[in-house]
Amino acid sequence: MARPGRVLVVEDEDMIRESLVEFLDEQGYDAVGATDGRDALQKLRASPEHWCVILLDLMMPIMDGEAFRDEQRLDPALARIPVGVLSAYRDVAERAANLGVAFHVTKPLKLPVLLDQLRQHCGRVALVGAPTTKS
Amino acid sequence: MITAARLMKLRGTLDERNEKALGRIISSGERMTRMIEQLLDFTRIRVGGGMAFDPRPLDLGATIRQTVDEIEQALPGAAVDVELDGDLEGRWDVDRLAQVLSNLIGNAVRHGSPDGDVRVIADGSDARVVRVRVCNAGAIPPDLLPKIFEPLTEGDRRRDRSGGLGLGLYIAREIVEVHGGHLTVESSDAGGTEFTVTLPRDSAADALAPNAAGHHPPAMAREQLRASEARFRLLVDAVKDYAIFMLDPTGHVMTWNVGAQRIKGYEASEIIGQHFSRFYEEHEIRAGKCEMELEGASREGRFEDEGWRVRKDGTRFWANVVITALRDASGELVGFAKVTRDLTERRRLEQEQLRRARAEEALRLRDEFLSLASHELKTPMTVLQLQLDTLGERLTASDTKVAAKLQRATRSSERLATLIESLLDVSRIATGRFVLEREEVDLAEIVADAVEESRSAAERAGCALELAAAGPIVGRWDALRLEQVVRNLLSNAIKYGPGRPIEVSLTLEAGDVVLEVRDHGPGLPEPDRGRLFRRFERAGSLRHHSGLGLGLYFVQEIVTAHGGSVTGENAADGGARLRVRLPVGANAAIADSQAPQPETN
Repeated sequence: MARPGRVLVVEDEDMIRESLVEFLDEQGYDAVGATDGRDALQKLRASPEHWCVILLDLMMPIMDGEAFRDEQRLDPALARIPVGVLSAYRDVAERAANLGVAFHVTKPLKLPVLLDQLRQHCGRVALVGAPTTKS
Repeated sequence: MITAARLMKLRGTLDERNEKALGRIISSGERMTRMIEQLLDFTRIRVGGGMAFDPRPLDLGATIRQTVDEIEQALPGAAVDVELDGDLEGRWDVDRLAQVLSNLIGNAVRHGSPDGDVRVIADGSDARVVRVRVCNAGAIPPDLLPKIFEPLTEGDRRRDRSGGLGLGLYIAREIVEVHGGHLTVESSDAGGTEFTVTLPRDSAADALAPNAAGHHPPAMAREQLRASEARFRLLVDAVKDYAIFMLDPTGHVMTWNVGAQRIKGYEASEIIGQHFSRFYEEHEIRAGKCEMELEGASREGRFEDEGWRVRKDGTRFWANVVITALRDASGELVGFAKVTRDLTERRRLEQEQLRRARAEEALRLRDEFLSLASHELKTPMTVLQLQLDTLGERLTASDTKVAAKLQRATRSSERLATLIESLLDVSRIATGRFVLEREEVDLAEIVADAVEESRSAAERAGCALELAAAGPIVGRWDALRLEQVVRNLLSNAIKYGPGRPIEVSLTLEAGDVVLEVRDHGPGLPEPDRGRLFRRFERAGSLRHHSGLGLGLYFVQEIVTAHGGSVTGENAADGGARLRVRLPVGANAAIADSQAPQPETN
């Protein structure tokens, strides 16, 4: 596989989601957008392999980031996909710690920081992609 | 927007991908502009003591057509039916009313059914008011309807698909009310939604108060009443606090007391025989208020009212008026007794109290609102930065001219992001939600990092940056906040001393750590020293400095929260010397226990 891995962008603001997906695509990632937590779960369950990172907004309608994280952790096929929180909250660090996620990035986004995180996590794409392996 | 127009021109020259990116940059910019405009309007309404407006003769029909054209262009597929009936001329503020129409019609289009059945009906058949109805088939949810004109409701924000802050209707209603009119709404599943704007044709009528022409009553009636007035005059003559006088059955003044002279300014000889309408404002006379009051008193026996009345010199006073019908033994109406009190002072005090309470509420709301608005602004800001970065990655190699422009745009957007963060900080401090996140850190490292980060900005301004730091100096501090302190002090030094060196030092002095930033600019002007660390203060007007004037205010707030202090002085050989003193070790622990803060690690 030439591409470093699939990235799911869970974000309700259309413009942010589309911009980010496009940017990541051009950086060589296979980026997919989801409009809220429920949409994200559907997309992940429809094809649970080869995700290297989920980028998760916290404030979303229908199913917010926190509720999504609860569901994700309960689903053995998805639990181990690393999550990065994207948020405009100033206390994003605290919220991220409570959610037990891999990293967090504040909005407006510092793209070099985000790309750095993606490089770290997407290097492990083969491991994460196998849904039944234990950690 | 000028920049949007310039960017639009670029569009034709780009490929599809870049055109899309540019489109997003433009729409994010416009969205931010709308938010900031709403923010300003909101501040004017709530804090600035009302919205200024400039009424001029206007044909509302033309304004409606123009607004509809603009909306149909901006929202492809929108179809708006316009019906204009009767005379739609009046005196209004054209820009403000266009804002109202644009909001109402735009909302109707966005929230209507897809087949676009929006109707705008203007009715000018009434001589005094013009009514504009904006209708569509969509219904407003019943729980949202009663709150629809309130600012800052969550539902309203979700509803605001124009990407504003959900203040559009609140501002629209304020504009209509400033014009002396009303904005109302009706909505149901069956009937759809209808907003109605009712505007008096002349919103400035309130300011006019010429006296009505005098009328002379029949001589006979006057003679009859004058006889019965003698005893009445004895009783009321001495009363100074009340204007007490009689009117004949048609409303002409028959008697006059000292109180009436004092309150209204007329001598008895000037006013007796004149119609009492001259105490009223022109528009009330035209509206038939005088006749209505006498009819009311005659029918009910008594009529009471509070409102503006006019003195002889044309000034107004706030009056409480009681009119009592006087009848003879046979029940025949012989005239009216009128008692008027001047409540201007009481009303002024009441208004003053109201104004003060409103101002306090406004301040609280402003801080809450700043926080919300800055948070909302981050969405378009994020898109803007993403798109600028995307374009930057694509273009750097190919086109250096465009790349340089993009870099400038990126720097502007970074500055904008910093300003937004500053607004958020102001509201955090003002609402007491400013919390330190302390952890064990090396201050020398923090200072070194911040100096490195500022180096390119310093070089652009021609300032050599020198750092002399003892280290490591470890304490429990909020690393991000102290970095902000160093950055703010440096950007202040760069602003005021461009082209000259800046020295930064970090030393230990009697158990405290002292950070000093020294520039070689004009120094601190004496009178500014005390104000240096206040909100929105900037020293001197030597040149135009950008920013909100909040930098040193934040320095002070952050340092104080850490239990430290900040001072500013001029060096003997010129330039300013800003010193931050922070307790370290045991002192830091004391500061902690005095102001316990939640900690992250």
